[in-house]
Amino acid sequence: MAELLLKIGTVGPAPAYQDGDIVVALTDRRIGQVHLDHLCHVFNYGLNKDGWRPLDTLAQKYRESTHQFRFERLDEKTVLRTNILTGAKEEFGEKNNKKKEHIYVTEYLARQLGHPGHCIFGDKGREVWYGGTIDTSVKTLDSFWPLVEDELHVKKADHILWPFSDHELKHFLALKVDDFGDDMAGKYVAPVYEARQDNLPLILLKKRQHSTAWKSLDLGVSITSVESKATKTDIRASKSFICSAIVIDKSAVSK
Amino acid sequence: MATITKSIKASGGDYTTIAAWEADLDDTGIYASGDVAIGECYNQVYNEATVTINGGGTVGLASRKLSVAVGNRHNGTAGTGARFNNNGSIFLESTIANTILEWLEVDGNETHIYTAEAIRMDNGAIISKIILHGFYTYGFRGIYAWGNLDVFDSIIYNLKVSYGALRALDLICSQYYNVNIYNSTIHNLKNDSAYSDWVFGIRGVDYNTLRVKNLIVTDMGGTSLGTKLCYFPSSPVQAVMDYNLSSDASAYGAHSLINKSSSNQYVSTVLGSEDLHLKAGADAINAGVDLGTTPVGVNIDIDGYDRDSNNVTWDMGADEVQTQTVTVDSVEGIVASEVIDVLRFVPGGASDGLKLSETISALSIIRVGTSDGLKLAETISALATIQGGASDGLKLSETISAIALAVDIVTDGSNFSDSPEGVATALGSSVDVFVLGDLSAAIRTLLMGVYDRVEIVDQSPDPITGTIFVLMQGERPFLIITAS
Repeated sequence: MAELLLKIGTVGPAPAYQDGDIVVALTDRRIGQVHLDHLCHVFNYGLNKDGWRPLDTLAQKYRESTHQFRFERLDEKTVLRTNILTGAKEEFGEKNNKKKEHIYVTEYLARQLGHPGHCIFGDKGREVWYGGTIDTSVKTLDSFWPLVEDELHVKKADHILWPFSDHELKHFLALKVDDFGDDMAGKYVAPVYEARQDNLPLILLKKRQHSTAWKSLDLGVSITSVESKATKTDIRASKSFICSAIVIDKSAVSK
Repeated sequence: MATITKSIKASGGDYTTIAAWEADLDDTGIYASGDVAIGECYNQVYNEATVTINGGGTVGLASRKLSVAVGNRHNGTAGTGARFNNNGSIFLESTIANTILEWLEVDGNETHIYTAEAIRMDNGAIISKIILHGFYTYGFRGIYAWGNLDVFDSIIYNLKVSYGALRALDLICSQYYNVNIYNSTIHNLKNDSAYSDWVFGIRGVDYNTLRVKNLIVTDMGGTSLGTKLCYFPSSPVQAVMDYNLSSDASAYGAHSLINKSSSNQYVSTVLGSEDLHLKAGADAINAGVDLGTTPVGVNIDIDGYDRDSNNVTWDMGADEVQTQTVTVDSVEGIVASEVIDVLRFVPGGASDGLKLSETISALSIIRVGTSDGLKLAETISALATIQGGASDGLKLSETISAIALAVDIVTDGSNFSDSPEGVATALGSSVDVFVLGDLSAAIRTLLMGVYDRVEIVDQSPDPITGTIFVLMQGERPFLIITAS
């Protein structure tokens, strides 16, 4: 299931926020990712006695599953890059290769290791780190959940809602809806622009689409309580909606 | 008038998304006219679609800033701080005077995005300490801007298009607006269009309101037959463009450096592990012009290092190489024993990760004594854990012996505060092991990465090696660093 976070109350005339505008559109994939990112964050797994991130933790395994490249230091000046998906390997040193790639690995690692949030795993002289593109597709994330469930004794079923803050649940309305893709999520929250010559485009509408029907939905709670910024409203565990039934394209309506 | 700071993070914050923070900027229950609104991100991924920051106009905010909390900021390389990672864009619209975007990493993750730019900045926007990279798409601008605006101390790299023009910075200029582009680094733009489409590192219009200084722009490439230039215009009549570096001949100005290889500028250009900090000996080091503190924050480099307060000669690019190894955070009460721990982190070397000569250099910065109560025996014991190698011929026992000599100077009751010259002379007498040259770049970088503040309290001339820098912890001497 996906989720929408709706603006409650109109701020002012367009392009300011209008009541019911979609502030955030979260796909099921994105919701899963935020939980995995949190559960597998390097901060959860500390440092070994020498200050490196320990290998064989969920933090390292998560990167191994999602990142394009694994880097391993081979010696004082050489780094091995492995494309995790294809297995292709390439070594780099201080001299440029044909693609103008080089690395001064000592300087590189020194800077990384000096950072409190560094992601350098392994041991001194045999450091491992990750880089390149990051695959957070549904397939990749779903395949990683069993490992998380096994090692942390948690259940994915308990991590299906976006972790909105109390403040957000007081100021906005979160709705659980049928899932949509990332492309659609982008369209839901995109503004509407008018092109201008020799200038940046002008925003006509803050959000292209909005939910006009939220006040008539069977929310199970009063409209007053939703509109009250002192009251936390969270109906996601008990109510879900069909996205296409509550979202209308404002720009289409205006035409 | 108040500064209202709200946290944006997946757990335990005021908001979980940037968009939700922005959507509340006109909430009169939170903000009032004249307030400064700050949204602080954290070390996590912000996987959001397009974010438009134009709220606050109804309330009448004085300014709005999207930043990253201290301790969660990147270190000038990708993947180390708060990362905006999606196929959307960030739009900074001018509903109020100042909109600031800083310390965020904007990662395209090599995916096609819906709009033609990663960041669109309108009149009054300021961007600093941004890392923008990894956009592989069609006709594209890293940053598309109009109006009065500042971009400084930021890094843009790895942008590629297969169709249409490509520009890391595309500036709509006029005689009415001041555009300041300072101390930023742009690297590796590729245009593989089948047509004659351009690729420009920075494209502006030749008005005297355009100022471009202290930039490094390298490697505009690709298979397109169109024009490829690091800087456009490359021969300005009015625009103020100087003290820039280019890998082609397009950096204009008497103080600019042209036809410089990217391989002699950066720590790493390896795909997926890029580090565009300046390598030791880079052409861009000390080749910039001192911009003082205007616009506000221009003096703070991509690592948070203050060029102005440290009174250094400015480098070109987003990174300022910290040439003197003087890094102690006296506020945190760092002590010598902790420094030794840090030194253990120094990578290098073939077998044990650190050459013995480098070890000595590192150890020599440790002035162990009464300041933190670390005993000589403990010191030597700690030092012994740092393995030396045989590659440079100096034995570990000799190292320890030499160190012991120096340590004795301050553990036998001598008070450095009373007689700094005496200690300097004593150290000079053991010059056979304390001639260091400059500290290695690795150690320098490491220490700078660990400690935030630097204070040079005293500089005593060393009769043999050059200069001794004495670092103080409160009123007490703490570290001595010798540098030739």
